[in-house]
Amino acid sequence: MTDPARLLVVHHGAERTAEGVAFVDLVAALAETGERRVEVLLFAGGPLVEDLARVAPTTVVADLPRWSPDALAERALFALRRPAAGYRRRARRLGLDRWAPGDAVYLHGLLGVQVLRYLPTDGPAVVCRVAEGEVPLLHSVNPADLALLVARVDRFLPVTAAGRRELVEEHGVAEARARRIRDLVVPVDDRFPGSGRSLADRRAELGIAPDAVVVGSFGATSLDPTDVTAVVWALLAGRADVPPVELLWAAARTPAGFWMEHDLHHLRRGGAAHGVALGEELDAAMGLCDVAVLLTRAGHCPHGFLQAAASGVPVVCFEGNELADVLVADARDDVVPFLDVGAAADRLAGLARSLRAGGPDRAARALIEGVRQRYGPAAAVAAITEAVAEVAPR
Amino acid sequence: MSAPRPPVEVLFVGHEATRTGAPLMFLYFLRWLRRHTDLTFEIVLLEGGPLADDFRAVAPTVVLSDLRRHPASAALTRAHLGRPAALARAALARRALAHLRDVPVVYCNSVISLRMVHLLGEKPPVVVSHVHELMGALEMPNSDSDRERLRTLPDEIVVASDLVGDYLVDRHGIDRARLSRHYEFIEVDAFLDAVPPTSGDLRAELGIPADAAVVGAMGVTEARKGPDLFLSLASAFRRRDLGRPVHFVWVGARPDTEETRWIEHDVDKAGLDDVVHVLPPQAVPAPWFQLFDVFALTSREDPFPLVCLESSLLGTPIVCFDNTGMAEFAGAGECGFVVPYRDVEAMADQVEALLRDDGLRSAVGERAAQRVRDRHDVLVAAPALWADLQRWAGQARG
Repeated sequence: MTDPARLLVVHHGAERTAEGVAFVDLVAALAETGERRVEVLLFAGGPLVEDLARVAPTTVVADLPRWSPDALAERALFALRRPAAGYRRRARRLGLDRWAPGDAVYLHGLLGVQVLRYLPTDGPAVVCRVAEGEVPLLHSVNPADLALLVARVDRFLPVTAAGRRELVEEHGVAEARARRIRDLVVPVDDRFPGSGRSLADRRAELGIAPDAVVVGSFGATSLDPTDVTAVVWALLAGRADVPPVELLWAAARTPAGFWMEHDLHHLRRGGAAHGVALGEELDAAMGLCDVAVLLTRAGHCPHGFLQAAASGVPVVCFEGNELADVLVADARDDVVPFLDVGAAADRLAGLARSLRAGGPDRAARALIEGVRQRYGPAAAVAAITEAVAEVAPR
Repeated sequence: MSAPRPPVEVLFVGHEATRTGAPLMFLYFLRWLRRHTDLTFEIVLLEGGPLADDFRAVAPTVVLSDLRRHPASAALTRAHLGRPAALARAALARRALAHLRDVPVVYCNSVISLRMVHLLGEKPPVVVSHVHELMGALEMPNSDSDRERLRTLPDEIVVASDLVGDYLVDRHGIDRARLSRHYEFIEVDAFLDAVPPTSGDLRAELGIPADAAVVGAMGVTEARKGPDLFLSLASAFRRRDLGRPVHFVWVGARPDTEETRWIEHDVDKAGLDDVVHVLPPQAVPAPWFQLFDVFALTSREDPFPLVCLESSLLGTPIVCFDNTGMAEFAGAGECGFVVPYRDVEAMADQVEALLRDDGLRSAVGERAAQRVRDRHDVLVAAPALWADLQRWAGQARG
């Protein structure tokens, strides 16, 4: 009996974010299909490593011994300007040199590109999900890695139309090599420590008035290099025709998110802004929000917003965001022109007034179903499995 | 046989030699010292940049980042041995700075520059820190050690505006008695000498109609400078009818950087490409200021940007948010206009008011130009800073 072909799933880390939890679900679902023996390679660790290790053998590059003879030999090769030999040695340390063409590698995002530096060129086929769209695709990867990516990946799975368009039009990827998939969204559940806490209590803890309309924003990290959410918040808070509004921002604290922190600091001085750490209470944050604002420049919709929309929270977003495609069908007024902060403030004011008056129905079924159908995990797993089967037939 | 070098009286330390506000003002001050005093000084720069030769022309200059190219340091870096590479660079730096170990006064232009003081061995008798920074530098992740150095190392702290001083006192518990405020300054005569008679072909070059109003901004396209807010401002004018087109020009976008590509992306996506022009840094910025009818400072924070002084010197009024040091310059419509932070609509209202009223624009612009000549010319401001520096050095000798 021959061993089943293998699938190496590569990701940058295992943070406890909505996206991180979705990744664990994805690996489990891929393993459950039984199509291939799944292994996981992470560049950095994180609190979800144990969860991953329970569903598939998991290696963390950052945990490799730093001072072993192998590691020192690898460093020496880099010091002597022999990077190719250094990468070959790293491949041996990770066991990647034994991966064969019948095997496959799935990169769960562009940050996994560095594995291509040491994956044998005649080795396994490569499938790459591209969550980034538009400019981030060009600039989150250095030119050498981008060239490697374009040359080495057999099938790209962009989650946005803009990402696919850029791959094809800017980087010369053949149309057949880039197939758009929908990202997956996981339901909020007890894997977030904040679950189960009384939302009324949490409101009180944060000092949010019981009758206030809570306008929130949340994301896996900072939402963008810059984000005009705080600008809209400020416009909203300054309006006389709006009921009491409280502002909630839930996000992981990262360098890129600094300016949101900065603006939150200024808003807090007015007493109407609250911040919570995303990893701890994403679900609570979403439960606390009456309206969410997704005012980022990129076309991608972060998981937190998908989850919010799937929970029936109205989301105001810019035209061009992938979520707008969904909202246009059921909540057209929640889509405002790109960068038009005044229009966003107008829409939020209208929603705040409407919510205060008892509507709209938070559980807008059509919207919830629209989001869940498009972003359900089954569809994502099927798309990845199919792509892997095409590029690495057994 | 060459004469022995006289002992260095003051060591000036800068964090970089880019064509940006803090390094430029630092250079202006050093040039003034060279021309108007007998002070013996040397310069250390943590990083190089396009102004490095200008610094070298003023005094002997060591650029510490050049040490990264040393073969030992470079090989260790390639081997991913970050810590040993840093130790090697520190040893090389100590050797390069050995003759400065007994310097009595070290003047660090920017908080980051304090990082090099330990390379001199024991703490010098007088350390001065000239702070041009706010939250965006001092509260970024991994800036803990910079804040700690600021709290413990300098004997005297120069702040670029009252906003900076208040920030250091309120957020970092710095004793106000340690602070001296010296507003930023420019070389007025040299700047005016570089101004051409007219902005000439720039309008035609950019395709801006002769009757169009121009709202300008100048700076790198980093988040702190708010280039995205500048685009929101442009977007707000879509809903306003001034009876003539309004164009928006941002000068200073570094080509091929991620931030600049984001801005270009935003311009395209927002459908603003017919009225927004994003241009790279200009070696001679004066003609661009002449093109502007109003200067919009959209910074999320800014201690006291030199570009606003240059704009004001040419009579172009500024509109800024209230959390920048320029609010202290502008006053309540005296030399510019101030609107609440992040209130892009209020900024649009003020810009519109200026564009509709030539008389107002001209009156504010004239007062602003006079204020720059009176208070922010190197010939006026540098002597005051030099007087403080002499006093602090004297205290050390005493």
